[in-house]
Amino acid sequence: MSEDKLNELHNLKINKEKNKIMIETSPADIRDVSRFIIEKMGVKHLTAITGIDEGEKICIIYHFWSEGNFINIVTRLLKTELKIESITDIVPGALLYEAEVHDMLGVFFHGNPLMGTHLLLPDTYPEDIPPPLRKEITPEEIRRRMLLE
Amino acid sequence: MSDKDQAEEKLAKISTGLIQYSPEGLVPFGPVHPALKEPEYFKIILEGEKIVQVIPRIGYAHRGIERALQDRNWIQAIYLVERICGICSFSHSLAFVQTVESLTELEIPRRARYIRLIIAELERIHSHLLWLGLVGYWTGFDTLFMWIWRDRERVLDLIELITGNRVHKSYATITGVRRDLPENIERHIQPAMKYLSDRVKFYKEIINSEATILIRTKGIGWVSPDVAVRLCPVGPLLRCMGFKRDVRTDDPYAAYDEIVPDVKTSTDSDVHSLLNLRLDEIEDSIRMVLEAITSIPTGQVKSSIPRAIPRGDAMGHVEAPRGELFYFVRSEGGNKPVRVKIRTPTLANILTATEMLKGHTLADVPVVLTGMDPCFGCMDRLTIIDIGEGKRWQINGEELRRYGIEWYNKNR
Repeated sequence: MSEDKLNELHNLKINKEKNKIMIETSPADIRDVSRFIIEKMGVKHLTAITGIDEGEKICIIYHFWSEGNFINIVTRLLKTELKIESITDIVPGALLYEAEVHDMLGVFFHGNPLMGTHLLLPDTYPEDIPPPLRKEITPEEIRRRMLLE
Repeated sequence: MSDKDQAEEKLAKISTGLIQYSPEGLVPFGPVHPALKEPEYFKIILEGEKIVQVIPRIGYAHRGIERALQDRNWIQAIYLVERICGICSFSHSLAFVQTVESLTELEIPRRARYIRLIIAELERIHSHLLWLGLVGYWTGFDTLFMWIWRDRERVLDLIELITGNRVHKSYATITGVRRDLPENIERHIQPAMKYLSDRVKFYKEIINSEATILIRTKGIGWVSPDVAVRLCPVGPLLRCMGFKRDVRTDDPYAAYDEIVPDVKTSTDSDVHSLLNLRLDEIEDSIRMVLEAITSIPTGQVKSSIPRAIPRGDAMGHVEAPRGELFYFVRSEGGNKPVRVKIRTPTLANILTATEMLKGHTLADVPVVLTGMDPCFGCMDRLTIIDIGEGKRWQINGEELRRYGIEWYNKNR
């Protein structure tokens, strides 16, 4: 892992401990940062994309893996504006991971062809209730609605 | 516009770009089978016999485990994550406990790390044998299937002897493993490993000389490594394309820093190379189990388990039999996880498998899809659209298997 190259990333909060590097960025910069990681640092493997409901915001973490380190890009979206650019053209392997976050938390990834469809949820999932991993809805409520319809 | 032009135009609409999905979505058939963990649905678009596009739809076995984990404490969670998969149940619990342990300052006893290695490798042997038997089944070589599944019982017996269970081992726990090895376990392990190693040599001979296997697997499922690696595959699928990546050596856990795996690769990137690669991996696992059982240190197997886990985000991964299994855990200092994210190896490999299918015939579908080692529930139902003839029909796994065997009888 070349630390010098990481330092080229200006204005970002970079935190390194043990084998994980956390890079905090704004949602608008997500494509630039991931392109930098892929092209300049030679990282090839996207391990996963995690979405977390943090109350007012949704936190999205892109976990890259390279030479013994997890390189994580952390970005936070306001629940009122759940839109972010897709990175599928930079990392084609992100296709299903982005679709999973979309399905579970309702984040819209611009440019991902799977948006608007269900990846994991059944097609009968009611449209007027929030996605299942959001804090606004409980599993009991989902079960009640799914059984009703 | 002739029919052919129309078909081509339709095709271009669907298959431009690396992976393009048709906008209308798919009708789910509920290919859920109680015995299988990851049923999937593939929409296969054909031009005559040739596959031009494969569209997967997953989620039929989605049970909301990630959400359920948020309502369970750290100990209950171990047993829930184990139930995600029946074949690699120990890999799941191991990945979870290791991720949780990385949030704490806990020291894992050296003996426990060795025991974890032994169980993980026994699980790899049984999973690879199960897969190899299935390749025999899908190619119409049922004798191979019966032989291998009989041999696999030896490994399951060992696992039962050590952990008390054949499938859901409930063995790993935070800070170590739940029980020590039974006394004189090496007396059972050594003859079983000797037997398996002879059998693996025999199977290697078969798959490299038997005509059925060679015709059905050699050159089948070839995919360009440069294209495939961008889809981020993991495990044997990645290694058969010549990339030497294995979590056991890249990020050693358990006792893999002391007993180092010999990571095998191949450059053929077809189903036949996957067969050889997995057999090599079984041989290496047998070596590691024997090495671990002779050099295992004495001592504790666990220490006291904390009720609450310190605040923080942790990522962890293990090399499950199918590839890298990833866990993300967020703790806020309580007795429950706030968020657990699981990425299983099959999810990472689906895109590569669809790429592998393109250009092959419908008869190759079972072998190629089994090649990536999914849980073969994915084969339960398929929708087949023949663009040339405009027909659309559905067949189930058994019919497709028969179709594949008959096609090869007629055409080769």
